[in-house]
Amino acid sequence: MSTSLFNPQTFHRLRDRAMATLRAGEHLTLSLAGEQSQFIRWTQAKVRQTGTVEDFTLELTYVLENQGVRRSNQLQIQLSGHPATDDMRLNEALQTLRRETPEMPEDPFAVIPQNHGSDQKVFRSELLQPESAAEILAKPLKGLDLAGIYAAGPVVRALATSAGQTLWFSTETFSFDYSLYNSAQKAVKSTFSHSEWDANAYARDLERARKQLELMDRPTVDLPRGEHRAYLAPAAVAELLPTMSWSGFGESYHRQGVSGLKRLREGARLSPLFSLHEDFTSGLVPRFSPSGEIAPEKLTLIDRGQLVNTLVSARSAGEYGVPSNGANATETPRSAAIDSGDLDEKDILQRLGTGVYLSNLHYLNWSDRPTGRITGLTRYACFYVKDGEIVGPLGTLRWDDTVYRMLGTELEALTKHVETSPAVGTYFQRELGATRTPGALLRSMRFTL
Amino acid sequence: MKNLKDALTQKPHEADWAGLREVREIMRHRVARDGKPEQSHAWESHGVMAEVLVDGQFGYAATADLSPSGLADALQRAAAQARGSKNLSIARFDLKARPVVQGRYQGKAVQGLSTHNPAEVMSRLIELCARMKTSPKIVRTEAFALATTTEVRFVSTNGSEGEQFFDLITLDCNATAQDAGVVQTRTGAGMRGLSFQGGWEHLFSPELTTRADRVAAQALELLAAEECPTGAMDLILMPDQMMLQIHESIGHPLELDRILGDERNYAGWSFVKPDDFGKLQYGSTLMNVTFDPSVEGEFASYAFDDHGRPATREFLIEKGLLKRPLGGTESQLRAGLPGVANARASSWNRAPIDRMANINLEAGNSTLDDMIRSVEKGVLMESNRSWSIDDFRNKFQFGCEYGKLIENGKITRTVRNPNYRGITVPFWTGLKKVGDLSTVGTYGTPYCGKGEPNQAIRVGHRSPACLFSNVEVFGGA
Repeated sequence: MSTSLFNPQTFHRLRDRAMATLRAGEHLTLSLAGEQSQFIRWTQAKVRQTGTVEDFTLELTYVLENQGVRRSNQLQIQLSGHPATDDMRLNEALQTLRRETPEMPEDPFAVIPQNHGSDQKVFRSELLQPESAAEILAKPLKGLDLAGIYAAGPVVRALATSAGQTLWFSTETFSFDYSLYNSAQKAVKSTFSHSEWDANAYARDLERARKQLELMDRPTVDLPRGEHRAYLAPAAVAELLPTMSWSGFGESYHRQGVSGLKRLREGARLSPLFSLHEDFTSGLVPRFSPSGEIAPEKLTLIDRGQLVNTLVSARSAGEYGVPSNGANATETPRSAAIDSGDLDEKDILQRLGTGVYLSNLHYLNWSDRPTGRITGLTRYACFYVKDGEIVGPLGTLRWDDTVYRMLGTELEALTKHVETSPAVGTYFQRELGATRTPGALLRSMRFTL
Repeated sequence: MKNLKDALTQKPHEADWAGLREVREIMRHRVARDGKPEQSHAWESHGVMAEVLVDGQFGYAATADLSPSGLADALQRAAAQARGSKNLSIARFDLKARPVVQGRYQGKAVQGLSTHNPAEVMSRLIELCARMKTSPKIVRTEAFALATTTEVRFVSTNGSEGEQFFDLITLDCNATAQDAGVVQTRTGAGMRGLSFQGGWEHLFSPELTTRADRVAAQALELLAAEECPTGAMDLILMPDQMMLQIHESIGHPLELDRILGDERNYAGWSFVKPDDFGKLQYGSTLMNVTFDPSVEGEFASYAFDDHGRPATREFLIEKGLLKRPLGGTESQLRAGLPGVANARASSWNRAPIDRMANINLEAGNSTLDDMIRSVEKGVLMESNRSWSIDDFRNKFQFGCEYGKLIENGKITRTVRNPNYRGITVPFWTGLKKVGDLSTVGTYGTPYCGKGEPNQAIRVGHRSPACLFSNVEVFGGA
């Protein structure tokens, strides 16, 4: 049953059925999101919970235009995979939209869909069979204390508009996001994700993590609060991005005065070493926006410290009279990439000298959004380094510092190597995409507790 | 219910137990910004989680195909999942992990959410925006309503038959003021704090109108306020910040699955150990914290959890002593500890895990005036705007929207960007006074996040105002 929802023809049938009913002044966008996923949750290298989820939803965005006045409404329905049931739900949704929308207040910025071109992308992969996945994953875990989540299966995103556009993106992915623990509750983190299952790569990933865990056996070093030199590994740099993206890059946030990076729009700059792009060249995430616009393959947001572009959705384009660049509704990066620098991986510890080596960060939040200050904690494999040598794992430290210092005045170097951090979030549905980030050497970072 | 019971007859032959949990949820999300519609969105989520026990291991399969064949297939897939992992189980379970429940719960709403008129709702939100636009210095106004009707039905092969019905509403009105480079935002009660079981009566209430007026006035007031001072001093937290303090530094650390290590890879662990129950002095003797699913109108009230355990009020901390973890049936069996009925899933497409429900700090004996009079130097803080805590639930930092300086027993001036940080047990040990019933506020949030795969769930927090001593307080950047 449900596999039919991964067939573009099923979506085309729903599309044709909906669009055939449209009357003058009605505009419609259909957005399909679906997954057929296996989740295996691990603790102590054993299975805590295991299951599958099949979940497909169809969102209808309806705009009614009458003598220049626009009104809008959205409804999302659950798809069952049974044509009769889904057709009935689609019909009921259209009836509800037609009944409610004429009474809604005018929405001058409602987006009328345009035809930005149709496309179909299908990515297939060799994933583990669900029935045997647990045993295969467990094989090399003997003697390890591992906690984590294996998520695998196909994911689809599709869109069709009354302007005649149809877009389809489906992919088959897996990720094993895990951490390893020693007897003192110290841990290291890894995310194993490939386009195809590769047992040798899996073993190598575990071995790398296991070796890093040996360093966590050394006595813990508790540093006093204050300013310390710091190296943020690529994963730690990647962990800055979600908080920065929460209001940071959206045109609407800047216009409304509530962006966490508002000072960049007012003339402040980050380090000339720092450039950030919305970069879709990896192909891991669809480029189309909820209104069917195709985002540029690469859009520079910050160029050598200067904010040169914001993310502009179709709605913001209408409200503020600026060109859209195919941003999503929340105007957050979907495929962020930070340019690399010239710091060799083998030189990191020596260049750091005496300071802290941070593999990961935890629980970040804006602590003072208008001034760009973010707080968070250290987590997993974080070390005190003295004279270029790792001394031991760091006791948990809270930091509280501004973007304008960390990626601005205090940014000393970025690494030559970059790492890809796949999106592993699964709130409501499995996320797509990844960020690509180098490591960052900071002259100083403020630790407050 | 009949189709669920019929589907159970298709239980796989190898299964020792099977259960079907159907969730149907309709959510209506309306947002107005600066006097215009910003978002009008409704969505229906409807599916079933089939769960099966094979040789001590549970497996699940979530599906939106509710036909007889769809449910039968889901039971088979769940069995295959259990079978594939039964030699790798962290714990071997039996029927004790799924108590039998029979019953019905209906949450209370005066104007039920199914009596919904979206145009009327949007007009009310636009009206609230207009009320808040009292000055050109108010550069942004927003009003928000998220209304959810939820139906849950549960049947199992060992005789469970339960259903629960909820009307849930989350509201907000917020205003951002800007002048001379200073930007300040004020909300109704922090991010999404106005969350209740109830209906449209909350949106159309005079109380919300009064709140909107206060939001606008205080956003402007904050522009001219001085920065919150820095230093160790007394701190009074109002209920809409106590909400986050309770949530992050009591609720999450006491989740038993977290204590057992299940959350280590994502939300983290806990400084609390199984041996601490009955022994650890968590805070001052004024501190009494309950798990209370019985409070009418509180966001996470219910009759039984998603594993079939009847929900009852229990003390988690009494006179400061740690008594009981937040652990559902599976965690209780694994840990050998008593717990509460808190195995909950966010929807049909996630498996239940240990969650907070309503976690409340019980009222004490002090009036707010008593607390203020007792402070030589301190700050009173309202409405959370920033939250962060470490992965063992020790080192926290919170920011609030609105503060008042207290000097020599009197409120003197408004301060902006009030923040504070601390460590959980020393902080709660510094609890000096607990407000009486006149100071109590009831709040909640629809977005407590946890679990792998991730789940966002509703929680409630009721608390009086509280006074803490010697807290590290600081202002903006």
